[in-house]
Amino acid sequence: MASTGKRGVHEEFGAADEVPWYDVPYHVTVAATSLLPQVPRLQLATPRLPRVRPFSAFLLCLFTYVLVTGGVMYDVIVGPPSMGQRVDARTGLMRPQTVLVGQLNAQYLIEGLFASFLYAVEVLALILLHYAHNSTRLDDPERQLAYGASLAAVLLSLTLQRALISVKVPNYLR
Amino acid sequence: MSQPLRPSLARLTSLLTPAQQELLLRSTVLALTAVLAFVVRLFSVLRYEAVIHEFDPYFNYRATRVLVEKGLYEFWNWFDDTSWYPLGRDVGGTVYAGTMYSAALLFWVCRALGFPIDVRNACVFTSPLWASLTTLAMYNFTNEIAGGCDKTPGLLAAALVSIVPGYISRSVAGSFDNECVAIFALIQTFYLFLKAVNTGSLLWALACCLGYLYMVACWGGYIFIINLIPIYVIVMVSMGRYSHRLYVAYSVVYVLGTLLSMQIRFVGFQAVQSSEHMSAAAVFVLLQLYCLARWVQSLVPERTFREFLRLLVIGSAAALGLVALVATGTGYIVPWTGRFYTLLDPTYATKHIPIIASVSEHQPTAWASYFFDLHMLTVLAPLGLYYCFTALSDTVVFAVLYFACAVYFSGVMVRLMLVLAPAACAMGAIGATSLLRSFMTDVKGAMQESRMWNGHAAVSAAVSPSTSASLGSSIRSGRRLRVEIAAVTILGALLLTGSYVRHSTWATSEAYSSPSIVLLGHGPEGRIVIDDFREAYYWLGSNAAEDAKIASWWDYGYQIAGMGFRTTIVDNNTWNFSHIATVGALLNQPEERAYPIARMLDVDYVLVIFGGVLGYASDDINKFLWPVRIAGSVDPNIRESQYLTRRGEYRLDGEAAPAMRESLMYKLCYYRLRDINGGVDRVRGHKIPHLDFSLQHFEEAFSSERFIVRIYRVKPPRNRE
Repeated sequence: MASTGKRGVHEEFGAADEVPWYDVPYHVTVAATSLLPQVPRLQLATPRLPRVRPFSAFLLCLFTYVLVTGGVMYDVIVGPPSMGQRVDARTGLMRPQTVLVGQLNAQYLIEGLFASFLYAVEVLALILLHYAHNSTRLDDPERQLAYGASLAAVLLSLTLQRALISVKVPNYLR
Repeated sequence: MSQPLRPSLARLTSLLTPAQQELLLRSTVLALTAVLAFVVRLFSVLRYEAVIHEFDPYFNYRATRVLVEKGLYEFWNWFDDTSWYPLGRDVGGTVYAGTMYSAALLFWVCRALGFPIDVRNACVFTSPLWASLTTLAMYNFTNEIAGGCDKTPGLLAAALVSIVPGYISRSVAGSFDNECVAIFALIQTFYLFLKAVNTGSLLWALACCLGYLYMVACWGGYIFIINLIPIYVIVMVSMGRYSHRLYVAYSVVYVLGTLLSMQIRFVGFQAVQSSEHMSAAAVFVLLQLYCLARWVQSLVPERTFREFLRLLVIGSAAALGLVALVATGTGYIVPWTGRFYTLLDPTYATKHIPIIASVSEHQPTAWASYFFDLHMLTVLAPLGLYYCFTALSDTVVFAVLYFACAVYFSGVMVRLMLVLAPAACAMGAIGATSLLRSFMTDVKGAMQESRMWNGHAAVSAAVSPSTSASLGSSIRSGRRLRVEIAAVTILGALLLTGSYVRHSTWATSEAYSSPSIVLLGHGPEGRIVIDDFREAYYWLGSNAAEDAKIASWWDYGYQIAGMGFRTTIVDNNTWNFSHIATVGALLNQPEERAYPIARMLDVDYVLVIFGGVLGYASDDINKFLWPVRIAGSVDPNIRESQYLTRRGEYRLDGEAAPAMRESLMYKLCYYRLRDINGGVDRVRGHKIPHLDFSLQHFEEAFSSERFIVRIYRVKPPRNRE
């Protein structure tokens, strides 16, 4: 309804032979705008995020999460070596050291990435556990395999994590 | 005792419907969680005493005392002429006073109830109390995210947040800082905002504005809220999740919230002028345009709408661009502050602003901090993220964004771990409950079955025909496996939670409960208490003249003012860069050149912290490069390389750089060290060779028991040459 009304107004303007005084600003504006460069015809749609599968989006997030919790910003800003060295107390020789012992807010590249890699393993294993338990598409052997793999992965990475933090903080939980 | 109790309990429970029982259980658990949050933060009080911690809390304590003793108006008009001598500081206009209001409220309420506590105790116990409140806010927040009528995620999140080390680190009793109050305000504001989005009700939006006002009053971190909410709106609109509820919530929160935040003097017109707030304003305008476009779309046919949209987009883009250009060009919009810029470009501070980079809590985070502060949440939180992605809703989108932003910010600055911790708790609770729900159903089902059909199983086995026996047994073994796996998983979850509790308690007790004003050491006869700081400040308070001016590196300004009651040159409110640089120059110049600076600043005493005798590592010698860098950024004649060896190392042994050995800081720290302990520096771990010097313009006035604090008097100028 509103549209027909509008068209009607346009026709009235088009049909008018002489310009009434109150339409002068309108015609001046039209003339002025015609002097301006023509705006290209745009096909505009409201911006939308590209359709991503939720799981892919999650994997992307997890990847970023792993990088950040592995201290990648620390690596960029402070620029630590990927590994360190220490003097062996018994032999007096230099030995490589992967974990910067004792300091909570300092690290070598390797240890940070390893630690956050463990998070990713655990998360994915727990998701697998959930899937194994709730999916209807698995047959029994597959399901058992998934159960076994996920529980083993969780257990292994928890142990490794515990070992890593015990090395990092020598008096951990003591 | 228990015999009469049990029937009465049974009678009580029989009176209640299951829903009421559940409510009773839930509120009991929640109350216990809140109590736990309070109790776990008392380690420092039990081990030391009800003492204010660290640096900034001393200022907050002093300000609270002014607020309580002189009243609100005096507090707002408070011009502190005893700090930043000779400039002074307009405290009322440069402080986030929410912390002081909270403590003063606690003080007044306790007094009104007849508990005669003093201001210091009110300040000490503010942070544990507000942590208890945070657990309650967290319960609501998580349930709002999870939706549905199951309140388990909220309960779990409340339990998790009550002892999460990342939050405890800033909120133990005595660490009376802005953050301890602000985290409650943050979560509460988010909760109210989600409530407003979920209901579209003006009332909740209004409540959210009030929460936001409290947050703004408390902490500069409110910038996080005023940027996160617009990002959320943008994401929601681009996901096609726009709704009128969202429109109402955001429009009200932006307009009223901004107006309210302008009432805080420290914020004032920044709320409409500074770049940090501009994204919120832009999103507000865009949201109005979007709403207008949708409205027009519902009225006119598609073709006309396209035409209209074209005009609208071009017109508004041009107008916005013009406004932005004019506003920036005329200087109406204030550019980003350094701290905010550091968040966007993490390498910015190290390159350009040494004073921000020098603060240890502004350092980027290494992996161990994440593990230490979140423990199992480092795994559960991404798991929760997974479940969030599988079941998106309006509130879940917010949770995901909050979590993602918090992870990023915590990576840039270690102190922002504090903002991540609640997000990780909410996410972790959602993850854990979603994972365990299906397992729990199995276990519960199996338990019920075994209870109900205990005798029935034998009968059914005898009755079932032999042909389907193999099939039935395979199904049964599959089910048994399910139940067993479920039981194992739940047991594992319990063990993991147990280790979380152990870790948190240990971290709180060992790492986060030290007031750092009183130190604990291990001597030959067990633990020894090292109270050098307070000893020295009390010496100042009782021996220095009333109007004495004390110069020290800015870290100790608040403590000198809070415990020594003397005028300081610079303090932890690092608002005047060049003033700090002047003090830096005083410390790193040779004595002859430092003396005129000291005279110019009208300094009576110079105070340095030296840990070499005891082995206290965070002393001024270890911090020494920061005064050099900060002074060097104002005076180009001072360069860091002058203070390093030729190979660019920071050493104090025979190879120490000449500028280092000549500097006033070196001399004040090592003065008479040979007489004290033969010249051994236990922090650097070797003998200091260059100890043959004397002081001409400074004289030792006081050294604390273990020489941690050394105070030197500035001699008056000599009358004759």
